[in-house]
Amino acid sequence: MLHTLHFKVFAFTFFGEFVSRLFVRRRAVSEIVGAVLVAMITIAMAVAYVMAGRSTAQSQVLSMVDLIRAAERRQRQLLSLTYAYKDGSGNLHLFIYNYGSETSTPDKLYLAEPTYVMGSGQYTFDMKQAGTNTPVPCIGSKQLVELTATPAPSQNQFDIILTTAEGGIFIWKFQG
Amino acid sequence: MEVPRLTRLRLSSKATVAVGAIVIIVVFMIVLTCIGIVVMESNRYNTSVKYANEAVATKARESLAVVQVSNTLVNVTNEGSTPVVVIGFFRVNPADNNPNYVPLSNPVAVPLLSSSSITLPQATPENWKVGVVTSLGNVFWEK
Repeated sequence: MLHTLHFKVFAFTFFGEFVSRLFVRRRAVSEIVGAVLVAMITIAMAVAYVMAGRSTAQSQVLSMVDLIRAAERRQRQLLSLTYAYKDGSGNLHLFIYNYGSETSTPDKLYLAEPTYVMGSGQYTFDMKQAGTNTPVPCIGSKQLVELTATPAPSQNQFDIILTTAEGGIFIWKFQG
Repeated sequence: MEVPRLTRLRLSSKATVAVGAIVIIVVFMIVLTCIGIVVMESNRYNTSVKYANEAVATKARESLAVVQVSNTLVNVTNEGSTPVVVIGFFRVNPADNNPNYVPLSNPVAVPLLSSSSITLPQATPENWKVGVVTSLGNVFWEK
């Protein structure tokens, strides 16, 4: 009995010593190298965490900045319909002045009756600078352009809805 | 029995504190930078809104009385509560109602409660309707 117990203790001690030699003493990795390794892993994880956070924050901030700048561009567009008339050929002429500080690029023109149906009433148009009749693609700041839509609606009263590529929407009433 | 040395492979408490402090400081600086950028853009947006509101309000305060004195002379009187700058004028032929816009090479400022005479670059028959265009997009027609 005692012999058997002594053998078990010996076997356990021998096994522990074997494991210790195998995994600790025979790793040939000094304590300093291990500490440096752990430090590097810790720092790398910290840097990765910070960089990931920075990337996420950057993308979110840039999205917010884009939204704010788009809203700012919309705010700086100030269009005024100074004169509108229908000529004898059935064309609608709109004299639009930009008194804002941002260039406006008219994108879509809708001429709507009292009840506007979404997707209908879109008109093609061309633009030229009032006074010189030079074709222009956009309405610069402090510039007056003549926008001609063909053909004009037959009604004498309708809404003029102009959207710009910069996101502006302008609505005027026409009374012929 | 000897304690396995692997359990000793960890940063000292000072190093841990240093690394943690650096991470916290960097994160704090990133957050501060992001907030700063958004606040700066927001301030620019607010400035634009203020400018737009002021322009619209000023535009609403403009008022001019226009009188065509002769074929080449128009007299404008500022009846509003803000100075006005005339940048051009419309002249409309009553026969077909087609307007003709003539920009002024030198815009004319009309101070508060005063009158200015504008020489038209092109002779305009007196039976034509004349309207002056201001720098804020208003048009004032002769009565």
